[in-house]
Formats: sequence, C-alpha cells, structure tokens
Amino acid sequence: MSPGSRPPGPHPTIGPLVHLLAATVTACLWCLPALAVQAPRSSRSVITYFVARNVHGKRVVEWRIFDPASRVDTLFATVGAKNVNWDTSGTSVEYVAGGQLLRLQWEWGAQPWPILQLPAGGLTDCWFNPDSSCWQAAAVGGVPRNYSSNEPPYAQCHSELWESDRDGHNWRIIGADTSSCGGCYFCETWSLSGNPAIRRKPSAGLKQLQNAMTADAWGGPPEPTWPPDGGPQGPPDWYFIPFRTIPKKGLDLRIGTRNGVRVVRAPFFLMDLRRGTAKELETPYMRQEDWQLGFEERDGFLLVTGLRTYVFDLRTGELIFSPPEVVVQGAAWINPPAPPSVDKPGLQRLRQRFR
Amino acid sequence: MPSPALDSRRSLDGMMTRLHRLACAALLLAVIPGHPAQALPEVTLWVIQPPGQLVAFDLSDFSRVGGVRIPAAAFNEPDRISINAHGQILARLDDDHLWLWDGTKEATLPTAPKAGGAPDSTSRKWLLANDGRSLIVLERSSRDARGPAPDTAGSSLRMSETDLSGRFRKQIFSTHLKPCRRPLRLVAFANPCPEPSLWAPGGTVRDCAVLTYWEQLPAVFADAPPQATFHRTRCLRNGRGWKFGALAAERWSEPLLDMNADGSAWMQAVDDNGCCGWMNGSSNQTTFSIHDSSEVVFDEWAMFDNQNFNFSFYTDDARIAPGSRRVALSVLSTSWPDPPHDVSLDRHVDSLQFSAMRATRANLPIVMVVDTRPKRTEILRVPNAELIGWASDSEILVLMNGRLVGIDVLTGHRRPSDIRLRSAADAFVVWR
Repeated sequence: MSPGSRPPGPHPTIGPLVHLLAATVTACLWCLPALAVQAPRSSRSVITYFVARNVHGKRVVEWRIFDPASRVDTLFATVGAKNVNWDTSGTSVEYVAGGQLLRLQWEWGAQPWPILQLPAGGLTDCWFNPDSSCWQAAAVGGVPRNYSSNEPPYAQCHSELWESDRDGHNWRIIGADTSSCGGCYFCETWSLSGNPAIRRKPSAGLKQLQNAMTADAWGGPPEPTWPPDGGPQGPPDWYFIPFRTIPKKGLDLRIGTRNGVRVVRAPFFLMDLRRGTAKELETPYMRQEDWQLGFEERDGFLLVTGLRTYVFDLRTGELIFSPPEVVVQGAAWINPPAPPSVDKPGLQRLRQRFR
Repeated sequence: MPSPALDSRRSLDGMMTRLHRLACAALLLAVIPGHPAQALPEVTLWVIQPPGQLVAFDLSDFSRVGGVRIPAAAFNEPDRISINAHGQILARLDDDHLWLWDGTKEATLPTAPKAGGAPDSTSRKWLLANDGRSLIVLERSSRDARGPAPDTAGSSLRMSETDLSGRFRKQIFSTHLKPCRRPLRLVAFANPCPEPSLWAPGGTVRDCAVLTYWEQLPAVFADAPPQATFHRTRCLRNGRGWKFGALAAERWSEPLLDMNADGSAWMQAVDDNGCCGWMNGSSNQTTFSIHDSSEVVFDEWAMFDNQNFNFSFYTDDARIAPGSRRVALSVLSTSWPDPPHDVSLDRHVDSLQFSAMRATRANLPIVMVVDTRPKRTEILRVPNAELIGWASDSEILVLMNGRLVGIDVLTGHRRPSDIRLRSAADAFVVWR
C-alpha cells in the first residue's frame, strides 16, 4: 500500500462514530419511554351491519364490516349485540348481549369486556348518566289480563326506570308508570322518557344512526319529476334526489305515504343529467314497497337498508354489495375500526423486565 | 520527533479507537436480550385486559409493565394460557394449533410438528417449560392407524422436550402401553380408561410435572384376565436430567389442586361420594401433603356443619404459599336444592340451621387461609372473594367486587388495586 493511500472502507474516524450512533439509537430504542403507537385511522367510512347465519345447524349472529372502497366484507365479531352505541370519539363501542353490557375497543381484533350485569329482562335501552356516575336502564312490558282468545293479551303497559350503583353491581327502580293501552299485543312505548332523573352521556347509537337515515333527506332537496324511461307510473309520485358527492347525478324514486306512514317504492333509477341517461338499480329480493328503508350517501356510495341492504357505486350505478341474508338490525355508515393497537413502550418494558 | 500535528492525530485516533470499543460493547449489551447480568423478577402478576392483551403488572405497587396481544381463544378462555418466569406465554388455540409468545415475538405452532414427529394417530399435550427455551410434550401414539383407543389398542407413550419451535430436542420418558383392560369394566358407571395426562401447576413445568397413565399388570392367575392399575408418576428434574418417583400419599382418583415448584408439597381435593340424588354423601376434604406427611386443611362437615343438607361445600381452587407454610383455598358450594328443604328422609333440619346455612351461602365464594405449621390453624376467612394467588408468603391476591385486591393474611390489611377482572381466572401470579 503506498504512503497516503487508505484501505477500502469507511474513513477510520467515521467507523467508530457510526457504531456509536448505532449504539445510541439502539440503546434509546430499548430505554426511552415512548408513547403508545396506534396506526392512523382511515377517514373513509365503512358500513356496519349484523347478519344471522346458520353455522353447523346453530344460529349465530355476525357483526360484519363492509368497506365499499375496497369492496371487502369482513367479520368483526360473532355476537348478537343490541343497544349498540359508539362513544363520541369513535374509539369504543358498548352493547348489550346475554344480559350484560359489554365494551369493545373499536379496533380490529379487539375483544369485548363486561361492564355490568343488567338487572332484568325486558330492557329496551341502557345508558350512562354522567351526573350520577351510574347506569340507567329502561324496561317496558305488558300487564297481562284474563286472557280470552279474541282479545289482545295486555290491558296495560308498565314502564320502569332502573339505576345502578356506581360499581354497577346493584340496581334499583327509581321510576315506574303503568298506563292503559286499551288492549294490546305488544308494549313498545316506554312512557318515562321525560323523567327528570334521566341524563344520557352523549353517544352515537346504531338505532340513532338508522333513524337519521330517511328516504328523502340524505341528498339534495327532492324535486318532483316525471317517471324515468322504463319506470312505472305513480302513485306514489316520482322524485329526483341529487347526490351530494357527485354533481349532476341523482336518484329517481317514488316516495309517498300510506296510512300516515312514509313509504318508498322500488325500482330506483340512477339519473345522469349530464348525459341524459337513466339506469335502473339492481335491488334483488327487495319488496316493492317498504316503509322502513333508509338511504345515506357517503364517499360516492349509496347505502340503502331495510329488511335487505344494498350498496351502490354512484359513479356507475353498480350494486357492489348486498348480503344474501336478512340484516338483523339494518346497516349504517360508521368510521372504520382502527388497526389493532400495539403497546410498544409496554413491550419494551416487558423485554427489559424479562431480559 | 513527531510533530504536534501528528501527536494530535495519534491522540485523536486513540480516542476514536477507545470510542469504537466502547460503542461495540454498548451495542452488544443493547442487542443481546439474554444478558445474564439481569436477574428475572421474583414474581409477576399477569392479567387479561381489554382490548385483547395479557398485561404484566409489578406486584409491589400494581403498576402496569406492558402487555402482549393474545389470540381471541386465549382471551376468552384463560385456562388455555400458561406463563413462565421468563415472560413467555403458551396458549392452546385448538386441537391443531398452539400460540407462543417467546418473549420477543409471537408464533403459531402446529400441535403435530411434521419433522421428526410421531404419526398422525398421535394425541399430544403441550406444556411450557420454565427454563425459557423449552416446551414439554406428552405424545401417545397408537399402532392402530385409525387412532388411539385406550381400551382396545396398544400404544406408546413418550414425554419429550422440544425447543420453542416444537422441534424435538430430547426424550424424557417413554413406555409401551398395553391395551387397557379393567377388571371392573362391566360395572355400571365405571369410567373408561382415561387418556394419559401430563400436569403442572398453571401448565408450566418447573422442577416437577405429574405424569398419569394406565399400566397393565399381569394376571394374578394364569387363566384370569389381566388387571389394570393406575399409576401417577412424579417427574423430578434436577441438573442432570429427569428422575421419576411415585407421588406418595396420593389418591389416584382425586385431582391435584396445586403443587410447589419441586413437587415436595401438593394439595388435593377429596370429592364427595354422594350419588343418586343425594349430593352430600361424605364430607368434602382438601389435603395438604408435604414430605410424605399429609393433613386435612379443609373439611366440609366440620367447618360448615351441613351434613343434613343436600348440597356440598367444596374447594374450587387452592394455592400453596411460597415456603409451603401456608395454603389458601377458594370454597364454593353445589347448587341449592329445589325445594331447598329437600333433605334425606331420616334427617331433620330446623329453621335455625336453615337460616344459618342461607347466611353462609350468601358469603360464597369464600377464601380461607390456613397455617399448616406447627399445626393446622385457619388464620383468615374472606367472604365474597375469589382466590387468585400468593403475592408473597404473607399476602394473598383475591378478586372482590370485580377488582383485584391484596390482603395481608396476618393483619388483614387490604391493598386495593384498580385492576378489573372478569373472574379470578383472568389473573396469573407467576413466580420465578
């Protein structure tokens, strides 16, 4: 090697510095407490729904998530959940199953955790009261009367308001009301909703989300229109509802009332005002007239849900998803579950503890 | 004479060389996880917590150390989980799969490893070893390709040690099992010959595991059918390998509730022999055995005076304290008969006894702590609590009102925590 020449490789003063830097970085990775890292949540909405399936001769209810953008339908949990409520930040969801109130982190792979045992059957709703830091629950049932085959079984309906202690272990009735129903088969109306002891922690309930889905308030203002080409004549009358996310396109459908109840009639047509075209949307197994259909448009997709559920791509009018089974509680748009959280600092501490 | 510039350069080079060595040493210390300088913790509390983790807590102050995400099957059925002193976790997912956290990463393993394993007609039971590098497997393989059938086919039994990937490392024990022929097999309600089993407290093998299997004895007379007998063998491990010895003072039909690390002390429940509608045919007992001596630490009838009632109190769980001087028991009862006064025809229960029994049952489950030396003395009884384990030789951990609580068994002082549990099965106290 000639004087002044250097062996191949890094400069001798650089090698130690690189190693020192590597050691420092590695040591910091082991030692520094870091914040729990959660993968960023996608802002794209997904559709949540429950469906009853027969698995090996046993009826199971699946909680599923459909992502219209990727067209992937995924099992989220196997549970027949009722009273499903997301917290306002969308990080956790609470529901009732098997007489228990359970909480579930709104992330993939999360497992439910029991919060409390509910006091009785016949509960229609439960919620947390932030004033008393206790749980409250609504129950309603029929008061039977001497039954004769020609008469409805109930003469009265009885409503109760329950409240737990702070631990949720013991419950007591703090309000009750019995009122005549004039002879009825079902008692559905809980008559204590105006009780001053009631306060609800804000949440986004599946039922509320579905109630907000109407036939005519999901897009732009409905405009009366003529029947589209190939569409049957009214009644009820035809309306054009412009999409919010796609200009110059909208839906033609028939909306009317029957016995005081708002009804929607199939078929539906995707109208392209720019091209002047109309395309009938595919709605297999849909009843021609439905009073409980909800519509909601997001991110260029339209969710139509009632006894059956349909998701359409509004750019093409293509039916991209329709579960073959009857959806148990209807479907709704919701923020997608977060990816499984990883407790990175905790894992570092664990590794240090058991090194 | 070297120039000052050269001196300065040499000094810089020397410093850089020292820095280089220091850096390499630091790097080595940082990346080698098994550095022996750091001792394992004496005891760690592990608790199943939402959203799907098994979380380690420091028992001194119940502070959270960190958590590992576990499979849903393990989260929802904690008795599938074993944990060792190295913070490794083994979960039996289903008949075909195991899940392992080796302290660094997770892996799903097949219960029947392909390489070097026995044929498909082999049943296997996997346990976690406490040495931080092994699994223990008990394999029973049948010559009959249709699978093992203990009453009709001969089979071989093998207990082995594998590495953490399930790869065979060494054989601990093997034997050939003849077809199990029971002399009393025609007796009504006689149990069939059971599968061999391998048991260790919490599913983690420390210095001792209990192997149970049928062994055929030769016929007493030449023309008589062969007899079967039941053997429970204690496997002792020391530095030079495994040794075997019979577990003294055992009753073969009763399960073990707990055992200390070296197998010198254990607890067993002696169940009720009631039948045919009468649940309380004998007094349930729990025995504590140490060094070949055994004493009753729980006697149902003596403790609750319920021999006239058609239900039984029994020990659901038990834990031996570190040092084997004390034991803790969790007491439950069978269901209240319907109608509740359904006692036998020749017995009478007065209303005073009846209300006393109702009051006792309202306290269930009960955790009892018993000093075993110098003589049996009950030193603590905690109503409406579920036993979790021993935090030290004088503190038990229980579940009360949904939360984990430490109780000093000598003073009764309670150390509450904010750790919520679904049941006592969610928590594991793991000793080194």
